[in-house]
Amino acid sequence: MKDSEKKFTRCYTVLECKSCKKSITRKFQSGDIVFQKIGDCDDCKGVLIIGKIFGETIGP
Amino acid sequence: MLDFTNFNLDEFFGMGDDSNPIMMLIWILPIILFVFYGQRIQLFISSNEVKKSIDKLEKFRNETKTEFLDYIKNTLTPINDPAKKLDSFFEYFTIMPVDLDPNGIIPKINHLVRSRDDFTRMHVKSLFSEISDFEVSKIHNLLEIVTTLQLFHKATRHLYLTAKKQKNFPLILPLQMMIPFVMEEAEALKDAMSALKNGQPIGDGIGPMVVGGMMLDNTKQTVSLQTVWSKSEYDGRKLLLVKAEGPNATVGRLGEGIEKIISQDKPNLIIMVDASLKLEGENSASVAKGFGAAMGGIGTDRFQIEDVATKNNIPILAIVIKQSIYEALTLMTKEIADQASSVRDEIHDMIKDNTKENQTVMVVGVGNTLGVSQ
Repeated sequence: MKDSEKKFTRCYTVLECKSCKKSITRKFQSGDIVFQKIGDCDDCKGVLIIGKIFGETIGP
Repeated sequence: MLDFTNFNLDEFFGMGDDSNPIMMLIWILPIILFVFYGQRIQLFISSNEVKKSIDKLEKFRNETKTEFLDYIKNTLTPINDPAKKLDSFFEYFTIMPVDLDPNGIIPKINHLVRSRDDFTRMHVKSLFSEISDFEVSKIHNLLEIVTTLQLFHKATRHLYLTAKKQKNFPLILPLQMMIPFVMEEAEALKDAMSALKNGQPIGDGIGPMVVGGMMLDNTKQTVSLQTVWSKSEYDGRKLLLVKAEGPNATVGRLGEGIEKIISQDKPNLIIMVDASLKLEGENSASVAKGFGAAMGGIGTDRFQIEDVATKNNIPILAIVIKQSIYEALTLMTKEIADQASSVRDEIHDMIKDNTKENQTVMVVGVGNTLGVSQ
């Protein structure tokens, strides 16, 4: 199968807490940038940043 | 009812004593046909396949062009209708310097490439009353995609039409050999449009992502156009971290930046992190280590880095993350993104193994830093 036949139908953003290392995966939102500070962690009130943005392959 | 019991194979093929002249003609005619017209038949078959790819290239070019113009009109606020001005940009070409005497050709190429970049950036800015550097970098990259697809289409069509016009079969052979590679890149470029428009990281951005993560919480300074650096520490070693300025869609001017940094603070080791094209059979997102400056592109930045490293006797080590051209140009895959932290661990191991305490190490993240800040 050619790479181009794999279609990225979803792009995800992974939020990571710098303190407790908790990670949350959600759908990509316009304006998301890797290493951008998003807010505080609900569990430990540490800084929540975008750790990675990636595409998930859903193909034939 | 038909009777096959007395069927004679020799007689049927005209090889018996009482040979059939009609069967002999059936044998001889194709031989004559292939001797005199074989190349034309091959040309016809090969050119039909090539033509399908050229039509596909034309479709890609038209689609990306429409998508690009729609993006500008619907998302941004151009002063006038940008279609006419952008149409002239698609036709721009670059004449490489004379290489009969290659001595001193790198500064000439560097000047040419930089001038073209500055010129394009200036003209893109002039299309809008107000536009951010982030959007300018995205439009610059989108423009490059349409221009490249236009060039692919024109070049392949030229070879195809010349071969057809001159009925020259050997001329279509190199085209037939090259077209799968051209199509692979063209499909990757076409699909890269979406990630570029949305400002999402691409596979090539893994180098800046690795180094960007090491830069967090440190003060960043601009060292050359769209290139940043910061100082950090690891296990008693001083780190000089360099990458293109994110989240812009740019590779920065690493050669110029590294030269400036080294003139002030000479490192004992340079480690370069980059995406690398995988060979067929290799796994995507696999990590490999080696020696030398890991950097693609036209070669001017790599030349500058190699030159300054040689003059200062600094060894260069490389870590590459393997991927296909499609993965490098389109939205970063999970497998590649997941490698960022393990590559950082590899860099730390490299630093410990190859330097002593109180020494300085420069770590360079090479690639397009779209959607990746620092």
